[in-house]
Amino acid sequence: MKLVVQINASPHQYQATATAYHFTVAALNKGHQVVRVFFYHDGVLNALPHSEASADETQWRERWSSLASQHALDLVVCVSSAQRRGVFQAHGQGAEPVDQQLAAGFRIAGLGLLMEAAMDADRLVVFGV
Amino acid sequence: MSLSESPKSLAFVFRRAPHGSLHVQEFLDIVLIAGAFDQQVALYFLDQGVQALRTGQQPESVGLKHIAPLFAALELYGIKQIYVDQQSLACRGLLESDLVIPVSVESRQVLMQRLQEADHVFSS
Repeated sequence: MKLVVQINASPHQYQATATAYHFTVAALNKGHQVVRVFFYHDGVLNALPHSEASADETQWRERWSSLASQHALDLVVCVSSAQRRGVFQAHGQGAEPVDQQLAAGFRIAGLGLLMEAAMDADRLVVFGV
Repeated sequence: MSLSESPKSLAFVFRRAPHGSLHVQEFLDIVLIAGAFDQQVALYFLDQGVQALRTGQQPESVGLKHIAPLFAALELYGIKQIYVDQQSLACRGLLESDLVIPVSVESRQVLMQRLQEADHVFSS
């Protein structure tokens, strides 16, 4: 089955990211195709490159980055949600290319990529408040 | 994926009051994109979600965006299926005439049946 996963909540404040991560891993392990993981609302905070949870907590940023590299998973961060929350510097002096400002494996794009994935997928699964 | 594929039926479920968080405003952006992609879009307003459609809101007075007028733009995107839960209106003392756009008021049972027929259900 082709799935698209949408995450709406920040990684540490709510359990949604943990649940979405475990769902994604389980789906991949069962042989399903995860067309895209789309980060929306406060979910875009998953892509913050400098977030560091305490040593005895799960580093969700690292989990996503590693899952993306293992499975060529497409982690897409909504540009308008991210810009509103200061996740990247769009322009100005010294601004790095936008995708390089995100944690590894994430990329910035518009809502069109959520819609395109939804049109392609059998199921849309939304996590978060 | 190509745009020539037959459109999917996409349901958007509004259950939150409009100004306490950014959810409704950002959720509307997804609705508009779905309309721009020529999908079959239907909106469902349940529980506190019906508050987003109330007339007479003045969120600008506290520095928040007035999103109610955006609902009037939905028709330009070909979005005409707008369903409101009768029970959610009634228990808030609201009438159809209190809402900013024409809607179809249905029982929750009818809304749930329609939702089950959607290809995808977006929620926020």
